[in-house]
Amino acid sequence: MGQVLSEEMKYGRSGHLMNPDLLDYKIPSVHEMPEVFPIIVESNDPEGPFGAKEAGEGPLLPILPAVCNAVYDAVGVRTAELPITPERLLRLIERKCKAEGVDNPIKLPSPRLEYSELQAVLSKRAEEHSKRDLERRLNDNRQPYYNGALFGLDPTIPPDEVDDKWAVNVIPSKEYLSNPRLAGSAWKHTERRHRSDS
Amino acid sequence: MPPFQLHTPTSLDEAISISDELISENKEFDWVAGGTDLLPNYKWHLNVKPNVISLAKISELTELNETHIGAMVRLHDLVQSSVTHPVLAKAADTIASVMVRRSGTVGGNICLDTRCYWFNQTEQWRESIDWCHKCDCGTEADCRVIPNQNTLCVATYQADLAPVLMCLGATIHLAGPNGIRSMPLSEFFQLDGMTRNVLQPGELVTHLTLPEDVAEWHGDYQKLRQRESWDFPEAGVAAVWKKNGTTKPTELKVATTGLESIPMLHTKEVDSCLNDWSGAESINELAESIRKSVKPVQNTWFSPSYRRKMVKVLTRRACAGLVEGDS
Repeated sequence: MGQVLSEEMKYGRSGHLMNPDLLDYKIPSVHEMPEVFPIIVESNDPEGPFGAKEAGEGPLLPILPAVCNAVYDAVGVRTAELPITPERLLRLIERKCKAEGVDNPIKLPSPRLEYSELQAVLSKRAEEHSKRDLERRLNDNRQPYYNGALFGLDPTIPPDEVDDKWAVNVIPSKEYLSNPRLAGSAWKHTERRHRSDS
Repeated sequence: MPPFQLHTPTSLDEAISISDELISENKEFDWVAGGTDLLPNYKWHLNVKPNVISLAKISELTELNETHIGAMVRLHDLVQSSVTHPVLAKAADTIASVMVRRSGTVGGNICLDTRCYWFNQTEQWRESIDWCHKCDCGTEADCRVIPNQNTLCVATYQADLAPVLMCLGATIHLAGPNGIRSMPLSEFFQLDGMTRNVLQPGELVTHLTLPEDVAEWHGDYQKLRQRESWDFPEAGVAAVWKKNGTTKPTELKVATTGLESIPMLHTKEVDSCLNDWSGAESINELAESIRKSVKPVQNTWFSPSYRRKMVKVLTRRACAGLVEGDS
C-alpha cells in the first residue's frame, strides 16, 4: 500500500535524499492501512528447506496493479509512475482534462473497459488451461508431484515408505566423522531426497 | 542528545528569575514545555543551547476554560475538554498523533519551530550541504531554498492551532523579565523563519484569552496532509463566521497556516468578498484570491503549486458551512 500510494524517496537538486526519516518518508500507519485478511494455503515445497515456501515479496506484487486499476476505475487516468500521490494524480487529471477539452473533471467521460489485442490470446490460453486442469483433476493416476508441489502424501508416514523414488541417506559422510565436533550429531542426520531422474 | 542543564522552576516568578539570571550571565537557553518539538531538534543538534528551562512543574499555566487557555494545557486535554470551542477542538485533534498530543502543549504549538527539508535533518546530512541559514553553525551559510541570500529564512510554519486562534480573535499574553504584555495573536508572529515571533530573550507565553462572544462564532478547519494519522499540515485553512439568521455572514475571518513562515490572517481578501457577497460564488472568489496571496516554497512534502491549488479547495471546504442552509 505504501509503495503504491505514498512511499517515495525525494532527491534535492544537489542529489541529497530529502526525506531520510520516517516522518517524511510516508509509510502508511495503522490508521491508513485497510484490514488485511491472510489466507493460508498449506503446501510442501520440494525446493525449500523442510518444505518451506517463500513469503513476503510475493504477496506484495498484486497490490500495485490492483490499486492502479482502482484509481483508473474511479477517475479514468492511468499512471506510469509510482507512488500515486494526490499531487501526481491531480496533475494527471488536469492533463486529461486538457486533452479532452473539458474544464471540470466531473465532466470527464467515465472510464471504459477496452480489451487490447492481447486479450484474445489470454482468453484462449485460459481456456486451454482450464481444460488441462479439469483433465488433471479427473485423472486417476495422479502423480505425487502436482504442478511442482508435493501432494497426496501422508505427512505422518516418511515419504520413502510410500514412494520408492525417495532416496534415504542415514550413513554419515566422512566429513562428519573426521570432525570431532560434528561426529556426535552425525547419526541424527537423515537426508530424504526425491529422485526425479530415475 | 547533546548535554544541557535542565532547570525545573515550580512557579512563573521563579522561571522568569532563572531566565533573568541566565541572561545576565550571558548564557543561552531554551524553554521546554511538552518537548515534542524541542527534543527531536536537540537530538539532531539543531540550535542546541546549554541550558533548558522546563515549564512542566508550573501549575499556574494549565488553567483552561471557555475564554482562557493556559500555555501548558496539553493538546489532548484541549481536544477532550467540553469547554473548548468546537473549531479549536477540531484543529487540535488533527495535530500529530495521540501520543504527541498527550505531551505537546498549546504554548508549544503556537511557538512551534518552523520546518524545512534543508533544516530538519541530521547533523551529518546538514554538514554535507555546508549547513543552511537557519542553523549555520557560525558559517553564515546561504539559505538552501532561495539561494544566494542569507538574510531571510523561508522555513514553513506548520502548526494547526494558530490560524483558528487568530480567526477567533485570541489575545496572547507574554511574561518576561521586563514585565508582562499582551497583543492580538495576529501581531505575535514575525515574517522570518528564524525569529518567528516577537518573543524577546527570557520571555514566554503564559496564556491565551478568547473574546467573550467566542461561542457565537461558527466555522471549520481544513488541513492538507499525506497521512491522516500524523503529519504536519502542508496547508491549513481556518474559517469562522458569525451569522444572524441572514444568508450573508455579518463577520467572516479566514486564516491559513503551513504555507509561509508565519500563519496569515486574510482580512483584505475577506473584506472585499464581504462587500460584494453573493453566496457560493463569492466563496469561490475568496478562495481564488487567497490562493493568489500565499507564497509557499519548495521545502515540504507536497510541491508549492499543489499546495496553492489545495488552499483554494480547502478554503471552499472550510466555508461550505456558510452556504449550507441557503439553498
